[in-house]
Amino acid sequence: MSISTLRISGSALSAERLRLDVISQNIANVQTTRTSDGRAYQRREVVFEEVPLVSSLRQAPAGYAPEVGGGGVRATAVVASIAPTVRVHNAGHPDADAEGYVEMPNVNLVEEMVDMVVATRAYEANVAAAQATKTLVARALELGRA
Amino acid sequence: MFETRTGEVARGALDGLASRHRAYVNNLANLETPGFQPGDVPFEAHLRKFRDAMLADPATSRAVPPHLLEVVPDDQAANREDQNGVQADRQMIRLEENTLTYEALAQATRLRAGLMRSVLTEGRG
Repeated sequence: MSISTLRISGSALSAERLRLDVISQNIANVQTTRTSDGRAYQRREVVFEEVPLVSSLRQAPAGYAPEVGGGGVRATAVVASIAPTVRVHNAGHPDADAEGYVEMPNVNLVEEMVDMVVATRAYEANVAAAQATKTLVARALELGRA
Repeated sequence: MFETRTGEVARGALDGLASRHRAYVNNLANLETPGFQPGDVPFEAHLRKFRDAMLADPATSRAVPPHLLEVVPDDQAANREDQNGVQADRQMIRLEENTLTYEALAQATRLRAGLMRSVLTEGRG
């Protein structure tokens, strides 16, 4: 029974927490019309990538390091959504263009809430998996006890 | 009497269950990774062959064969839109089932070790 299995769950907890951070950022900026790139806020999305599971050292590729090749998930990038931003007519707004339209963020609150529930549930599933690993390791340690 | 077939098979099963646990934990870690395909460790069939080989020829190597612990794709028929093959509820149940099996086998192994100790101490231990 390998204790490093806990790291697989740990990688998922980090990745899901990053996703929750990004969702919070999206919700916080649902009305933001000014950003450093000069336009309305663009919804951000986290890209997840699998870290291949190497089940035994025998199968391990050359240059294998347990801390990077032992399975799990990693968030490789936070990318701006390609969904179109919304143009809203609001001539009194300080960021309105010559025709009186303001570019609003492409954040959809309902979508963000659904994503938040999914990320929370995935986080919980991985907490349960980590608990199961702890149980297995504890039982394995008991084998050596009188 | 200490190097018994039962002991070897139990050890192989504990290794197999631990390897399967690792595969299931990895499946749950990738619950939200698009295109991910879950894995499983079907060690029982290999272990049965290993046991039969030991029964047929006691001189067989007692080392647990390494392919016993191999991870193979596990089609859970999730049909998810992101092409991820993990069914969260099914995977959770199988993880719990695997944990309980490991606990049961670990306990049986301990009880067996207790019997050995009792023999060594002539029942006074």
